[in-house]
Amino acid sequence: MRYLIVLVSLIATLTLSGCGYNAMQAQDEQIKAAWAEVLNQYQRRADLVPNLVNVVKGYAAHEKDVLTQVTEARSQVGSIKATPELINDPEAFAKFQQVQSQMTSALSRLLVVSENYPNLKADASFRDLQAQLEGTENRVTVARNRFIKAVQEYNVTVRSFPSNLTAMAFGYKTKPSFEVENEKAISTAPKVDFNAPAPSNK
Amino acid sequence: MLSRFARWFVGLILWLSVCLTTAAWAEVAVPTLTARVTDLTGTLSAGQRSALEGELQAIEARSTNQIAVLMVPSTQPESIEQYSIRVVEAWKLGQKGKDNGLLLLVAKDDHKVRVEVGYGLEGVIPDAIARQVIDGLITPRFKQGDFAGGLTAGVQQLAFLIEGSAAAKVAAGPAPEDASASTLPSLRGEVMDLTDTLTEEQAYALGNSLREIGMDRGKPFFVLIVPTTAPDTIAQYGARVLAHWGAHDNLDIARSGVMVIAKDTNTAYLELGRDLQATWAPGASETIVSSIVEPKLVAGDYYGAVQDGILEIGKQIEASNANKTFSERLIEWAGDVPTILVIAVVVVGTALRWFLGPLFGALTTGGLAGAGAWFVSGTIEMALLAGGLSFVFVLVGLFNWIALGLSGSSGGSGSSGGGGSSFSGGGGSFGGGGASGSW
Repeated sequence: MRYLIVLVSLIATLTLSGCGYNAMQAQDEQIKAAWAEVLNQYQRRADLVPNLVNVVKGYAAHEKDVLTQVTEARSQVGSIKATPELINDPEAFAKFQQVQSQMTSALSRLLVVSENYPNLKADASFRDLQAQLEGTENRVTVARNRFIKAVQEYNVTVRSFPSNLTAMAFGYKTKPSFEVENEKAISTAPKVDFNAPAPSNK
Repeated sequence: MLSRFARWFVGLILWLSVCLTTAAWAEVAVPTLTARVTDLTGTLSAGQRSALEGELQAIEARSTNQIAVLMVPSTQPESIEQYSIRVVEAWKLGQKGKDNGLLLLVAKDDHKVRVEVGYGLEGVIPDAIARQVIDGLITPRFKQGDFAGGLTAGVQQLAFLIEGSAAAKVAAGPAPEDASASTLPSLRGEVMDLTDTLTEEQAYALGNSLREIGMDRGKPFFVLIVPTTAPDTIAQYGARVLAHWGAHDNLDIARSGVMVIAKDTNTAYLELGRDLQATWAPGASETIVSSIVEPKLVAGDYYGAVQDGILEIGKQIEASNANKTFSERLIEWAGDVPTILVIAVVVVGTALRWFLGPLFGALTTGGLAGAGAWFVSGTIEMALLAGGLSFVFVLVGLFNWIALGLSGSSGGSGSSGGGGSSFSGGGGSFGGGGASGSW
């Protein structure tokens, strides 16, 4: 009888990992790490903005619209407290995602506009900043993809049998993930208007 | 009629065995990295490729940085950045922990090139610098069709950037190691002969018997022959060596032991870990040293001294293993069961289930496994455990699933065997740093 209990508890410990408890712990940590990297890279991008705006201002001060958009997006990003707990709050998470995607589109517009200024494009510090910005955008993409993958792994574990029973027992729920960032932009075809006057001619 | 407890117990076992199947399933993606320079476009000549490889190899030898070059026709439909991060995630260039890997990727027909920088090198090759290397050194040559020249120039500049910083770090002075620790040998094998007294065959044979008497019983034992232990006494030296291996080579020193032989004084000493000390007969190690090992040392028969010493040590370990608790025995036995026996149970169980049906197949397999376990271990608990587990697993058809999983996964890993070349990634990570350019 005593051996039987020892035996059962031994098998239980050996197989509880099979029931997903350990996997969920590991995956949860993975999500946290991936999320920290996402925040890190977004922060890095935000830090680049002031320098970039300054350099662009030097050559294209009258591109007020674009410059204001970038600055506003920057301040909005700064107003959201980017904490690790954000992932557990779907509403705050959605808000965070929205302001970051505004930032992405404002920055890409800035880079498109800067194509019109040969002197700006030739500026060494602008080229460096541009390379850094591109690199950071790529890092953001990589970090986001890893985060999405980590969340997906976790959610699959939480929802699949038999680990869902373990998750239920411990009260673990699925976590929110990133959606396609600019869904609207992708689904609407870009408009090309040749009649619109170039802003620099005004 | 089963009692309520028995039914509950059987239910629990069934449930847990379901869990076990999920633990048994795991997939591993297989990278196919075989050389530092991989040219899938046939652009580089054999000479150019081996010259570039030599350069990259020298860089790794000097500073452990792993640089690889990959040329592909195209990365479509993916962007070069997406493809590149997938490559480095699979290749894991750079040393683990240092993350000092770098990939130079060329998509020839797309006219795109990318430098993918490992986490550890992002400081010395920030994106802007990577971009400068691409725009200044690589793409101008690519434009003229000089791919080998562009790659070489790029690699040399990147290596200069990396190693310039590494050299600076060395100049700043590494943390000085504990001076006494540096004189202690690190753990390299069962028999370490620093005096070249034993022939290679002798050391090999002794190593084998040491493994048999020690490691295979969960008590790793080592032999270390040194020219001298001065200024330490041999006992001090033995204690320091074992502690050193515990700290630097992840040896579980409580269960381990070492026989130190000092050649200059022809003395020997047995240093035992805590567990061994507790279980050996008192005075046993002194007796082994003074009456068996040292007389042969004095006579100049080093091989005989070590051989006889090992035999005696084996007897002590065996004797100390004889009186142990059930749980200790269980752990040891579980680690000891040859894989072949488990496979035999799987095969026999599957076959019997096929012929006799689930219930009788499970009963027969359980009985056989129980009898086998009883025969091997000599304890009734073991027999019950093995028999019971086999019974349950065959009953639910677990082995059929495992066999299915094994055949599936072995098919997937088949491609990793090829190549035979010596290059592989060291486990470095990348985070998407670097720069891309086009020509």
